Amino acid sequence: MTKKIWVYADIERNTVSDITLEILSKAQKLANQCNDATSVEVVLIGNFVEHLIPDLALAGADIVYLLEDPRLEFWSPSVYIPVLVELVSVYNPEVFLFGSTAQGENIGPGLAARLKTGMSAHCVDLQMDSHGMLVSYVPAFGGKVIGKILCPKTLPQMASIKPGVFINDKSTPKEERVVMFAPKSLDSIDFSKLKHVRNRYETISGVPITKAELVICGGAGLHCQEHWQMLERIAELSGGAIACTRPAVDLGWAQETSMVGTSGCNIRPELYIGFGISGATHHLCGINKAKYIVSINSDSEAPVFNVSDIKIVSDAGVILKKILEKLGS
Amino acid sequence: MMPCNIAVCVKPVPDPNYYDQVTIDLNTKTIARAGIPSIVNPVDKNAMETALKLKERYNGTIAIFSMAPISARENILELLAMGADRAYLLSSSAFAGSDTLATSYILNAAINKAENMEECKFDLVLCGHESADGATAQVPPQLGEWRGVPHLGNVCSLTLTDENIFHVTTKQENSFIDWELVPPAVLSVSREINSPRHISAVGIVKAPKKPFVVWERDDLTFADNMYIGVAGSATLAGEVFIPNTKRKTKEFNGTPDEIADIIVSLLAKRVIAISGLQ
Repeated sequence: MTKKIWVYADIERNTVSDITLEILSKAQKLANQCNDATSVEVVLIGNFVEHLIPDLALAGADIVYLLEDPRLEFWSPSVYIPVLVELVSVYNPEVFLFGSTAQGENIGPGLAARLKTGMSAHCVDLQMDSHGMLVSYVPAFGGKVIGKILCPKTLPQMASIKPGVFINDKSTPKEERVVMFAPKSLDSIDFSKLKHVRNRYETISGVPITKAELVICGGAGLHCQEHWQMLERIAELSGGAIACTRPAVDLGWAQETSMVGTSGCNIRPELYIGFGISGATHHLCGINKAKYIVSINSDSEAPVFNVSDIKIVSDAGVILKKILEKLGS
Repeated sequence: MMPCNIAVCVKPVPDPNYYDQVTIDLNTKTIARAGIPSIVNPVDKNAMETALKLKERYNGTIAIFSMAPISARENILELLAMGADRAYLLSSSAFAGSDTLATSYILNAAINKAENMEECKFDLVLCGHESADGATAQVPPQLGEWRGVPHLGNVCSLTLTDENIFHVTTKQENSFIDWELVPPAVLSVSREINSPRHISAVGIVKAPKKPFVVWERDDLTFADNMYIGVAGSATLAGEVFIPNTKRKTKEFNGTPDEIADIIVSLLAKRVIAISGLQ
């Protein structure tokens, strides 16, 4: 019998999120590692989401399970979890993967608890072993340690993956195959307990850091907001994306969406330039897939230098000022 | 207005400032963290602060729940000093090695027992969004499912209306979502929700006098004991290793002018051809 690797489709503003395409791409590689015939299948939930099926087939989905209903318009753990419990119990997938996004983190673990199965969180890699078991590579202690996690007793084997960990590279396009599923559980859900009222979108300007080729990152070593603003200006002039560490968020300089590391996102730019970054473990874990790392810090012993290609011991603020002068601004 | 009874779940964790000192014992293949002090997981204090603010406005009680070794008493006392009314420490060798499914199962059993003993229902169970060490963020939603109540993570704003409905805001990648929630529920909060208060001298004096209950395996009633400890966990932890992220580092020495020139040329070309590297 064909085995199934399922991917939860993270839908945001009526489009398929990048994280879903990244996981789909990895899922096809996992399917190729299996000895048994294995198909990669996507669970698509929402209202008026049918138009996304071609995108998913193009990204390599062998089958799309379509759950469309006005009551499924907004994701909610109280609604999506019972519906997914029903779907899983009918089709019994071997593996079920989620993005470590707000949706994925609210729905995936709750679903695992309802199914009494295991889920590993924020995986940095996934493999299939020779027995066809999913091996999840999970970071702990801010990414200092990686542990392998198995789910040996129950199915589905569940895992969540952070955005930016896998590359959405060339997938094999598939024929569109759709399984329509009308969940009966919708009729017994009490919708009055938890109501989605509204979604308030932030305007995000500039290049998203997970996609950027050039990332300019600032940390506590910038010492003041004036230096942070210089960094922002340089990013703007050079077309780079701005990234930061936790202190820059805590000091009110930067948005949390630009935070890189275990509690932010993972990036893989061609070039990363860090200004005043000391190199806390939780940040380094998010930048280690950058192709080239240049670090400027006044402390010659800063841990960031161990993972850098170029080490420059200097005051970041002074250098930022000089760069701006040279860029003619 | 109804009083608001709140359970706050907390986890003692090794202090994140020392994570670069974490190593692996090559003989036992386990994580070695000797000498790293244990602290209350930072964002759990935001959950505690959320509970205190609600209590100040609506009255009610705050109970701390923590599954941890008996040595966690010091950490729990800190939360009693912040203003919690009582604490339950769930400590048993049978609980060791529990994954998130088992941990949330044990926490649920303890919360149920406390509700029966104190004859009070918790309107909210509050947690920090994720722990600093494991950082799975899975215990709160799983606890919500064991309790059979609504749950939301990454809560950055929470208010209670006179109609006893909570207005909750959660953050996601590029947006905030506003929700209306009828208690009881399980919520996990993010750091932005508030700034945890400092502990007062009076709080420190009062803390040791507050009820502090330790429950072991046999003190709790489980509907079935399938989901406790290593044996009851759905996941199995395998090999651990420290990823090698070291690079062949070259150092560039120069005046600020020369350094700025290098960076400007990098920004322009984004290719790496630097002369004068040593």
